[in-house]
Amino acid sequence: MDATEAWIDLRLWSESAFRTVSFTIAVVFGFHLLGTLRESFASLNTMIGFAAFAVVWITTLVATRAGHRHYRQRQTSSRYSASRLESTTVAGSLNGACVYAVLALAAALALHTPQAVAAIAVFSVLGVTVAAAIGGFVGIAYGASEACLLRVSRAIIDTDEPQPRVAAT
Amino acid sequence: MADVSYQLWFLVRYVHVAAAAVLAGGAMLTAAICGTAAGLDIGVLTSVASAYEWTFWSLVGIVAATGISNLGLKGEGLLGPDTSWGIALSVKLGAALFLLALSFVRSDIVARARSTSVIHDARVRRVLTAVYASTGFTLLGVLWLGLGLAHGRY
Repeated sequence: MDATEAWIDLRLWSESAFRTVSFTIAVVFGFHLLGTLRESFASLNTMIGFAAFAVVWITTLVATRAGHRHYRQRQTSSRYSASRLESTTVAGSLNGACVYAVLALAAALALHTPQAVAAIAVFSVLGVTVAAAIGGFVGIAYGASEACLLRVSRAIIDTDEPQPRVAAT
Repeated sequence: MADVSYQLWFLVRYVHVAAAAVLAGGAMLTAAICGTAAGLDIGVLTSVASAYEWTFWSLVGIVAATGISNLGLKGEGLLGPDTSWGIALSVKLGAALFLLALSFVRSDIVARARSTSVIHDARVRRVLTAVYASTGFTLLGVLWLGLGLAHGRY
């Protein structure tokens, strides 16, 4: 990693917040449309809800940063071409695995019997893989939708377009 | 949800409304600055816009978390999607997703305007004014729907 590179910039912060918040609202919207929102909330309390949201935000920030680094490495590589879809897939997979790992850790801490911890550890081998695969698909969906939004942004104003020429007299 | 304290319920509600008010007010203020400050350097305008973007993406997470918590605190008061209250909630959640998409585009415009040396001053000013005004009006619309949902208008 470049030593002068800032850990966080506006693009990284906005993308991670966009992904976290839109995903959360989409999930709530889905439960509402299915008519199961009340039942879904019945098993939660305020503090657990806030903690879960904070965990998802932090893991999304870390995963989005990893996706950005992957994209930059591809840009500098002579063998590969940079793909935004690929970087969001990498970020999504990492995010899925991280969220699962945090949930498994929380479950192990809550149960803290040797048998339960061993069972969680063994099951996590499969769990992390499945979570990473699901996260990858979510990443593909985000990559496609973000590409559309960036296209809209470029259509509104293209900062790379040349300055209008001034006629020489 | 019956064991929720009044203080916690009030805090969640207060933080939600206050954060949403800062977002809406900030968007309107930024639109006004971009639209009226003709003599101001474009670099200053993009700095103001950038400051709003950092604030927006920090507060929007808090607004979402407290908004969903507000829904959870309603408990049995949560109605299905077929009721008029449920339809209003669907419109509000749809509007929130639209706002996020709009904000993603807006942030990209600001980030590119700050990082490039080729700037079309007048065009950037017009675009920034339009996107911040759109953000402000969308936020006000979502706030209006939220007030109706909270006070049983639907």
